Amino acid sequence: MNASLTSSIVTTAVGVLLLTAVLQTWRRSTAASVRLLVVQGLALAGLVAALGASRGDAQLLLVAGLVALVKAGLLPWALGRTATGRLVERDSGVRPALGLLGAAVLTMFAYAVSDPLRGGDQSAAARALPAGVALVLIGFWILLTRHSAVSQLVGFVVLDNGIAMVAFLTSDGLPLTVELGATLDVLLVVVILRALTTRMRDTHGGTSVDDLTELRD
Amino acid sequence: MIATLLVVLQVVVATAITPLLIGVMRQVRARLEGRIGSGVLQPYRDVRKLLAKEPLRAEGSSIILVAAPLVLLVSSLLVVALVPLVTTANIPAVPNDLFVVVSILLIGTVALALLGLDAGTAFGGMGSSRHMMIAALVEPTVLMSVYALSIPVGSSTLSKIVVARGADVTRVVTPAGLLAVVALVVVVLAETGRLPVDNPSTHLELTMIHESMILESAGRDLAWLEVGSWLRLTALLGLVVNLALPWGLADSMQPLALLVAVVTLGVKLLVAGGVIAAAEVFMAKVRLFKVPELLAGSFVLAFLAVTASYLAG
Amino acid sequence: MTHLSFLSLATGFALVASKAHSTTFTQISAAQITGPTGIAAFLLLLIGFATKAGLVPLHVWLPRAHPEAPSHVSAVMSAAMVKLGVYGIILLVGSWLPQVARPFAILVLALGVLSGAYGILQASITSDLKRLLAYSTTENVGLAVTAVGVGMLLSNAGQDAVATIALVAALLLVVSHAAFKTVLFLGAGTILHATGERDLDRLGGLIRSHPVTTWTFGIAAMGAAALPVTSGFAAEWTLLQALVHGDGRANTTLALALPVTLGLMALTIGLGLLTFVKAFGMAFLARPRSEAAATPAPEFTSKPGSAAMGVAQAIGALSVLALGLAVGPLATAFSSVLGYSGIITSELGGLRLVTIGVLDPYALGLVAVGLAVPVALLVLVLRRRVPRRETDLAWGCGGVRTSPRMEYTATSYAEPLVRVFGEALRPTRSLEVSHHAEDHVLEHRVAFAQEVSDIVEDRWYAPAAVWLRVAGDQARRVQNGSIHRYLAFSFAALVLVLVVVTLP
Repeated sequence: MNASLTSSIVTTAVGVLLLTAVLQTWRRSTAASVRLLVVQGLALAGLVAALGASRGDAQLLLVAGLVALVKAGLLPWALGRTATGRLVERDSGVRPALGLLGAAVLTMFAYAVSDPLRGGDQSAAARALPAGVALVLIGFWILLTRHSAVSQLVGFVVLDNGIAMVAFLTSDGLPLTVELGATLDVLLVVVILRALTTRMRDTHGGTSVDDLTELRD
Repeated sequence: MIATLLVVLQVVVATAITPLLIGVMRQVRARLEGRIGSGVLQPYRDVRKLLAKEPLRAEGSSIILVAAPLVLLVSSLLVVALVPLVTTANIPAVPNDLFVVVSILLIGTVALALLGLDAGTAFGGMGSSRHMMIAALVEPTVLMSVYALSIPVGSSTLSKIVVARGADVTRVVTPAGLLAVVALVVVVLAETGRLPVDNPSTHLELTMIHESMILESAGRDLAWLEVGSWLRLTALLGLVVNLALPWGLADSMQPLALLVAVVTLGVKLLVAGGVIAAAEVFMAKVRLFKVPELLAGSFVLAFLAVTASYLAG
Repeated sequence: MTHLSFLSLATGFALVASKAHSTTFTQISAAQITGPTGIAAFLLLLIGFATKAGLVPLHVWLPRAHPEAPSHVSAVMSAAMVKLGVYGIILLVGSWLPQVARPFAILVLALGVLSGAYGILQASITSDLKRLLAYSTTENVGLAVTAVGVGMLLSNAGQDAVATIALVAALLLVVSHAAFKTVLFLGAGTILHATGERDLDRLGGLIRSHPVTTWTFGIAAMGAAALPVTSGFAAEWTLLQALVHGDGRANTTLALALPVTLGLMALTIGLGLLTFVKAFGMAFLARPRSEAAATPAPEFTSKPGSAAMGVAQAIGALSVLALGLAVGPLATAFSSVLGYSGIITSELGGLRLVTIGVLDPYALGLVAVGLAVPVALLVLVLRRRVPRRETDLAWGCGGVRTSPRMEYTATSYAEPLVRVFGEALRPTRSLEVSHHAEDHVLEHRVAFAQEVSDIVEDRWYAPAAVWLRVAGDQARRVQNGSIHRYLAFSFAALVLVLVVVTLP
């Protein structure tokens, strides 16, 4: 695979990832957020596959398949299960405008700090690093500004996507075992928290985390 | 081969002369105290008597009662074989390194302490506890004096130290050397249970240290214990006098040299023993909790000896 | 303590790795780090490894943790786990930061000597068998670090040959300690299983019912007390030779440090003798001091797998002797690793330090056997002529027809020491005397209690714990219960790290 094709695929994937992350802060419907997660997962898988093909690393291609399966398939499925047969939940978090503004500020901040982090590497992969850092920060931002438990989970998944992206862009690729381990961890967390969310809804009639005010000694 | 023979001779001579040394010390003390005394050959008769008596074994005691006296005796014999008394030769594979000698002495100390504990009586435990405390507190002085003596020679092997001191009179009379010898004298008194640390002829319950550990032994057990302790005195006293007056030791099998060595050892030992016995008449036993002060004082002397050797060049 | 030491180590390693741009050991030593970063890293790493090794004053976790674990786990912890701390210190001063470490030789030496002396002092006065063994671990690790410190001092003064001997002595001490401490802890475990007691004041008389444990424990105790011909003796002999052959004539630091080290080390050895005579004598000899010790479970049959314990103890005791007899090949192997050719094996497998001295335990044993032969012959002759008579009571000056309560206990054994070292131990004593109601002269009951606790813990750690609790109470105000505030903290931390890392 020649360099320019790789470069364009990488750039496209990065753009899609960043776009979906910003849209997450805007859309308030959880079903829409979950659909955006599918797109994000596919874009991440495409990024990894392109990197793997350009370096000729078969293990990276395996990892890409794993990413596609889990992040674009299993995770959104686990998150979105309760969306069927129930009312579409609306999140009562901060106003969309404030969310978008925060995402923009964080993206600029990510570009500012990424230069030293890159260490002078000028390849296409390295130049896409700011997007990865932005994804991490935006994921955190979603965690901070949303109140519904499902939205918190979405933010967590976005955060994890961002970390994975930074890892793939800065290193020669994580070993399969590490990626497998990390992915399974995230999957497990999401599944458990999803079950808890259902329980929360049944008991309290809603999943707003603002109700959790007793988390201290 | 010659060295081995010399060492065997040394063991035999020392074992033969030890009861005489004890007899002389007891006789000197007796005469100074105004008693007739039992004669200088009494220890020989004591050992013969003990060997003919029945040894006992109380219920509740263990094999330590039988084994500890033998361990003490063999360790004392080993020390006598290693320390330069009659000869400065040593068995080729076993140089008489002073740390090794000290450790073998400690084996005997430990055997005695375990014997005292094995009896299961209050006296045995008391003697054992005090004995080990004194052994622990005298250890720094021992090693420090060894160190002080080994600095000018550059080695801790006893025969080398004695030979070096014998070859050069100026080394003997240095302040460092004198301080080290004085510290060693205190060590000898503490290790062998003489006044002012422990009264070897007391049987008052609360003042016994060495005596209370051997209270339960009778017959040949007691004989081994007595002879073992006497041999330790011979070895340590012989070491100190040979360090103070390092002349007359044999290093070959010539009969004349051997005779001179044996005679000088005998003279040196008996004179030193007599002096100690005479001094004991005028000393009282120091209270147990003042003994650490005495030992600390001797440690300071040895420490000064070391720093003097270093800083004086 | 584990977390504090990990924090210290992680910070130290982070500093080192940032300077060396790598985390492999070879690259760290090649980087030759010096300067303030190096000093900070050295101190942090030293604190971390010293805590792991159990050196005073960071040792307070050892006597609390080791006794509580099951005995075989305690054996692993004492024999192997704390050695990683020593390993770290050796790597730190020898390989990673040697330039930075040079002026700190006295500090390392002081840590080691203090740990040795304080550890064995506490061990000698305690009556809990496992706590005794745990403090003895502190002492032995202190001795090993003393050897490292002596080596550092000597190499600073340019006497490299003797410095290497000191380092070989440190390795020998580590190996021999592993051997005998394993057996000691396993023996303590056997005693605990058999009698349910680990308080020496309540044990006694186990030599009759537990012969294997007695003799293996005895051999290991000899190794711990550094008596010939065990491995402990060979290791301490090597260290003593290194101390005595350091030449202090030209170097004032050496002239002062070496004698002080020798003095304190000698005190450590002496107290070690007392400690292990006490431990062995109280547990196994004389009469049982309590009901539990009087009726012990039979040896190695009470539980499944306890026969394996006996095998392990026997193997350990044999290795204590074997490592002592075969000290020559062992030390030669160590010195060849360090690249020093001055330590060789003598003809009979002993240890020869070229131009310094020879230690040949095998030959020593043969001479002892040779001297024992005439004695044995005499004994055999006498046994036939004058056989031994069994009596039912010891003499004890006529006062032995009383209960085993009249025996000396471990506490009373160590009481003279508590008095002599009262300033360093600060025991608390309470004496309550209650009189008869009818007559105020007659005493009805006397109660005496003595407690000696670890003064490092009392003086330094207890106040520190109080301050930490106060600070924690203040910090609790930040917790308002909302998950968003906590998430905001994490977010702020991430942003702060990014800013700090990328500062120009």
